[in-house]
Amino acid sequence: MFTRRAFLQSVAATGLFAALYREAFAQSVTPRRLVLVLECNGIYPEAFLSAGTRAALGAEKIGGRHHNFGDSYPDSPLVREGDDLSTALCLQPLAGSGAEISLVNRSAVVLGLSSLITGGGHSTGTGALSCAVDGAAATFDAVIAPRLKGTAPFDAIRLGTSSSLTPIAYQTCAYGPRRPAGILVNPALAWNTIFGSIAAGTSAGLERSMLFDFARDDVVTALKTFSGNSRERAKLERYLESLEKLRAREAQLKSMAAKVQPLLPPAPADNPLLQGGGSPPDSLKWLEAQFEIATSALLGGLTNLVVLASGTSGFDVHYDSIIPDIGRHDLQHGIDNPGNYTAIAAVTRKHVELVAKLARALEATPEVGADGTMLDHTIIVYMSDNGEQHHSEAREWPKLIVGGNALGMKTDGRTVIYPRDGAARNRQVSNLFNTLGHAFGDSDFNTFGAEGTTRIAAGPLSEIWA
Amino acid sequence: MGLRFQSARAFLCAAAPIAALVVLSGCFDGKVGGIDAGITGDEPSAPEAACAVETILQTRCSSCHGATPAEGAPMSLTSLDALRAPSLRDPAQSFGQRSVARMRDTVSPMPPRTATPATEQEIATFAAWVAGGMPDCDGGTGSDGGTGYKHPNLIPQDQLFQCQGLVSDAPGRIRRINRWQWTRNVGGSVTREWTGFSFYDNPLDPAITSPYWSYAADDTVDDTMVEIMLPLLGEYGATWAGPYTGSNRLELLRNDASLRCMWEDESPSPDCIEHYAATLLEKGVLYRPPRPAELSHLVEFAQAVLAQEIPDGTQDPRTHTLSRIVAAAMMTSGALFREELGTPDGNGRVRLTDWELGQQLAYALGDRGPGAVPLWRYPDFSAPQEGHYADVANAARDGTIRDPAVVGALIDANFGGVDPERRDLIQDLDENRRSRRGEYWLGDGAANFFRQWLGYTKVEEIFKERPEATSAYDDGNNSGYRAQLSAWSQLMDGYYGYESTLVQQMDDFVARAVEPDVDVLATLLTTRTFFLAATANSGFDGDATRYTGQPYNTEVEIDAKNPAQRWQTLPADERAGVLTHPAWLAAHGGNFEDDPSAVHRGKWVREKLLCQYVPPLSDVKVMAKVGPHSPDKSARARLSEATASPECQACHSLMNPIGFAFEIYNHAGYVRVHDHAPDGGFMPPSGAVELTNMPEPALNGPVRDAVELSEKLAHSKHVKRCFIRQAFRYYMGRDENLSDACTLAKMEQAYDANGGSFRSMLKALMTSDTWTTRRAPAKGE
Repeated sequence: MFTRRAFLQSVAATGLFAALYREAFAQSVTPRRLVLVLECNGIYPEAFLSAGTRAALGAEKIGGRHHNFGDSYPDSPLVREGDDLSTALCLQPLAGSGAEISLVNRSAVVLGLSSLITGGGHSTGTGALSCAVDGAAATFDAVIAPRLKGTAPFDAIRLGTSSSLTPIAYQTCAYGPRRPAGILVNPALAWNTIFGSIAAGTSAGLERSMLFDFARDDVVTALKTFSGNSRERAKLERYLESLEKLRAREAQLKSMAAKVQPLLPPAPADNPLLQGGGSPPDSLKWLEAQFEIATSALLGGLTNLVVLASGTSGFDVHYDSIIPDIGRHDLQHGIDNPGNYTAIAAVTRKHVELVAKLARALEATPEVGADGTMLDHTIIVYMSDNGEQHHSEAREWPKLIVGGNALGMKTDGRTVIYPRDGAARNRQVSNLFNTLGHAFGDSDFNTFGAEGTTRIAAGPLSEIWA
Repeated sequence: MGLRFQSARAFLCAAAPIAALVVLSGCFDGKVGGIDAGITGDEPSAPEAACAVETILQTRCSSCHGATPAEGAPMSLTSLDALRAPSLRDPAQSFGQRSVARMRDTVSPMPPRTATPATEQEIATFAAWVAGGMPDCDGGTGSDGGTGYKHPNLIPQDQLFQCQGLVSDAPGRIRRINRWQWTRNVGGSVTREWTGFSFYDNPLDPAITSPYWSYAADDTVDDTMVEIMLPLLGEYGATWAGPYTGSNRLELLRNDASLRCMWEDESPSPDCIEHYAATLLEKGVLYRPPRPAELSHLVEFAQAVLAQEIPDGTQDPRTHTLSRIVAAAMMTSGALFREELGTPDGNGRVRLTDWELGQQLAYALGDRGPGAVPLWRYPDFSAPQEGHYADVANAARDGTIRDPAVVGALIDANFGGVDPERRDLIQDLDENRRSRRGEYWLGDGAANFFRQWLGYTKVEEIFKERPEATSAYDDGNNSGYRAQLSAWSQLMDGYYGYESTLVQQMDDFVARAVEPDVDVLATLLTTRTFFLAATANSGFDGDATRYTGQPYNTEVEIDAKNPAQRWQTLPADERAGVLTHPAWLAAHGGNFEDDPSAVHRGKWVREKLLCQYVPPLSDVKVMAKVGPHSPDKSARARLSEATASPECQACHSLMNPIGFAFEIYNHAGYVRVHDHAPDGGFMPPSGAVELTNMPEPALNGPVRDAVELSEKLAHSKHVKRCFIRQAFRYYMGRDENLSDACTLAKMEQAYDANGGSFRSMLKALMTSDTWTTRRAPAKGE
C-alpha cells in the first residue's frame, strides 16, 4: 500500500500527478468526501482524552475511570483549542514521526454526545448511523451518498470485518427502514468487487460487460411480453435498471482503468495481510487490507464515500497481532484484567493508526478542482457503533474527526466537551450528522435522526463547524 | 390522511351509492358544522349517524387509529368491520362500544387528555349509532369487505372464516427466488463456512418486512446484489463444466454422456451447444423447459464466448468459458424470478400453467425448483438421479399436476417422514452428523414454515450474557472457560463432535410433533418429549458436550450408542411444547437474564399465535428502555416499572402479561430456580399472571406459568385459526384477506375433519382456486 502512496507522492512531487489526476478523475462538483470508520465494540471516552483535557476536567475526579466520567463535564460546551490530542491513550498515531506529518492540528475530538434512542447494548445496529431504533431509518451514509457521489462510479463503498460466518454483513448501514445495505467483510470479495474491472492483465471488464449485455437483453425481451400488473412489472424494470447501471459503470471504469491501476493495492493472493492468518483471521490485518482498498478507491476517484466497520454483525473478532488466542468478547468480559484493557486500547490505537495512514495519503494528494489537498475536502469520522463501552448505555459517543478543513470543519487540534446526557445543553450524535450535512452543502440539514420529542436541539454543532 | 378518510368514507357508504351521495352532500353542507357546534333537535337517522360518526372518527380518532395505527394504538378504526369486531380489552364488547366507553371515561379518556376531547353531542351521536347496531349509511349491517386494513392481524378473524362466495382477489405475479431457494437449486448447503466460499452467502435475502421468506412482495435484484452474486455464479458455473470441476459434484455431469462434448470437444458442434444449453436451463437454471427465445439467446451467447476462448493446453480455459455461459443463464429473468402469471380463462382470471403449478408446489414442499440436479456427496446422492422433486416435475410435464388426487399424493410423498439415516440432510451434513439426528424429518418447505413461524433459528444471533444465570447451574463462576458456557457455545455452533445444535434439536422436536399428522397444533404446544444431544460418546469428550442438557434442566447422561435416549420426556411442571423449548425461549429472549424478554415473547404470542395487532416499535416515538440492572429487580419488575404509564400500557398491556408467564425461564430458556427479590436477595421465580385482554373469553383468567398457558392455547379455536392463517401466509406467500375466506374455511374444515391433520389442510389449500388461479390484472393496473 505504501508503494502506491509513494507513487502518488512521487508523481505529485514531480508535478505530474495533478495533470494526470485532473484528466482521470475530474468531477463536475466541488469535491466532498466522507469516511466513516466504526468500531463495533464501543470506544471508551478515555481513549480520546488528552492529558490537557483530563487536567482541565479534573484528573482526580475522573480517577481511573475509562468511561462514565460525564460528571466531570461542564454545564456548557467546553472548547479546548490547541489541545495536544496525541497525548490521549489511543491518539498517539496522530503525532508526526519522521517523514509523516502530524495530524494533531488536522483533527478534533468530541466528547459528551449522546444517542439514547439507539438503546446501546453490544451494538445499536443501524442506530449508530441513523440516530433511530435499529432498523427504523436510513443511515447517514445512505442519506448523504447522492449528494457526495458526483461522477464517481460507486456512490458508496462499505467495507469491514466481522466474526460472523459470511463475507457480507447487513448490520450497520441501511437505505431505509429495514432495508440494510451490505458491508463487504471479506477483503478478497471486496477487492474483486471494486477493482475487478480495473486490474491489469484481466479480461474481467470485457466479460462483465458481455454478461450484463446478455442479461439486459433477456430482461428487455421478457418485458415485451410481460402480462402481469405494473407492480410486478416494476420488479423486472428495477432489475433492468440495475443491469444498465452496472453496464454504464463498466464503461466508466474502463475509461478510468489505465490511470487507476497504479493506485491499486496488492491483489488478495499477493497481499501479505491476507496470507495465513488462521481461523478466525486477525481482524486488524483484514481491516488494514480493507483500508488499503478504501484508500485506493478514494485516491482513484472510484467513490467519495466509504464506510469501514470493524466487527460489524459479529463483534467477537480476534486480534492475534496484538493479543493472541482471545477474542474481543472474552477480552471485554475480562476487562478487570489490566492486560485486557491494555490490549483493547492497543486495538483502538491501531484503528487510529489506520485512520491516520489514510489521512496522510489524502493529505499527500492535491485536490482537483479546488485548493488544498484531498484531506481538506474529506471528513473522516472514527466512532463506535454503540457508544462508550462494550455493553454501552449509549450515553456518550466519543468521536475523532480528521480533515475536512476546506468544508468548514474546525479540525484544528481541539477537543470539544459537551455537557453529559441529561444536562440541558447536552447534544446528540444527530447534531454531528447535521454538522456533516451542512459541511456537505445542505443548509437545511438540521433534523437528522428519528429522535422526535427526545431531540434536544436541531442544527449543527457550531463548536466544530462554521 | 386524505386517502385514509376517503377510504373510510367509501366503506361507510359503499353499500348504497345513491344514498351515499346524499349523505356525503349532507356531510359537507352543514351537518359536520352542526356536529361541531352541537346539533339540536331530533336524533339523526341511521345514514346521518353513520356519516356523522365517520366525521367524528376523522376528527377525534384517526390520527392514532388510522389505517396504520400510530402512537401506540393497538387497532385501526377505519372500517365498519373494525368497529364491529370484539375489542381486545373485553371481547364481549365491540370496538365501537369500547370507543363510546373510552370517550366517556373521565380517568383515561379518548382522545387522550393532551388532545381536544369529543363534545357531548359527538359522544351522544356515536353512542346512538352504536346502540343502533352500527349500520352503514344505508342502514344496512353487511360487511364492508375489510377495506382499510393495513395489516392482516387487524382483520376480524371470525370473518376470515366465513365463506360468502368470494374468490381470492390476489393478482398474478412474479416471485424472486430467495437465498434458501437459490442455494438449494445450485446444490449448495444452507450452512456457512468461516471465511470460505458458500453458495448460501448469496444476497437474495427476502425483505426484512416480510413475515415469511416466501412473500417476495417487492423483492427484486439491485446492482449491489448483482455484484455480490458474480463470484457465486462463477463457482456454480464451474460445477457445470465437467464432472470434477467446481465446488459441488453434480452427478448429472458424470452420468449424462451427451453433455461431454461441451468440455471434451475442441469446438463443440451447434447441436452439442444447443443440447447443453437446453439441459442446463431446464435442470440447472429455470427448473422448467426453456422457451425457444430463451434457448436461442443462450446458444448465441455460448457461441460468442466459445469463440473468445484461448486454449492453453489445459482444461482451464473451457471451464472458464462454461462458467461464463452458466453465469449468463443464471442472470436471466427466468432464473431469478418464477412466474405465477397464468393464461386468461376469459372470466377475469388466469389459470396457472402446468409448470407454474409444478414450481409452486415444489417450492412449497421443498423450497427448491422441481427437477434440480442432485448433489453427490460421498457416498450418497441428495436425491434420485432424475432430480429433486422429479415427481412434481413429471406431473407438471404430463399435466397431471391439475388432478387433486395427484397433488394429494405428491404432498403425502414429499411433506415429511421417518428415516433414521436422515437422507434429507445429505446436502448439509455428513454421515456422522446425520446419524446423530432424530429420525423424523420434514421437507424444507414444511420445516421452513415452522422455523419462520416460530422464529427460533435466530437464536444463534442473539448474544447471551451468562446463559445459565438464575438456573440450577448458576454457581457464580464467571470464567469464560466454565463448563456452562462451553456447553451453550456448543449448542450454538456444534463445533465439537457430531451432535446436534440447539436449532437442530428444535427442528427434530418440531418434526416429531408434526410428522405423525395428528392434532398437530395441540401436539406442538403440549408435547414434552424433547430431542437432546448425546452427552457421552458424542464424538468429543469434554465439558462442551457433557453439559448440553443444562438448558433443558437436566444433566442426565445420554449415550450416543443408544439413539432413543436422545428423546427425553421432561417434567410436566417445566415444559410443554414449542413455546417452552430453550431454542424458542432464547430466540425470543434478551441478552441478560433480567432483560425484558417478556416483551419479545408476549409480542410473538400476540402476533403469531393470536393474530392480533401490536404496533411495531418503529411506529412508537419513545425510547424503549428499561431501567438499570439492579439486584433487587427481576426482569418483571424492571419491565413493569418502565412500562407503567398509560401511554406505555396501550401496547405493553398486550405483551407484558403473556410474556410474564415465561419468567419461569431465563433469557436463554433455562429453568430459573430463583429470581431477584425486592430486598436484594432471591425468591422463587414466578410465571403467574392474570390474563385479561385475550381474544377468546376462555383464555382470560389466571395461569400458573407458560406451561399452563401453552396448554390453554393448545385447545383454543381462536389459536387454531390463527395457526391456519399463518400457514396460509407462508404457503401462499402473501397476507390473507376477506376474499380468501372460502379457502381458509376449507382449510379449517379439512384440518378438523381429519383429526388436526396439517397435510389435509395443505391439500385443501393446494387444490383450491386460490392456489390454481389468480385475478387477471385490470386495465391499467
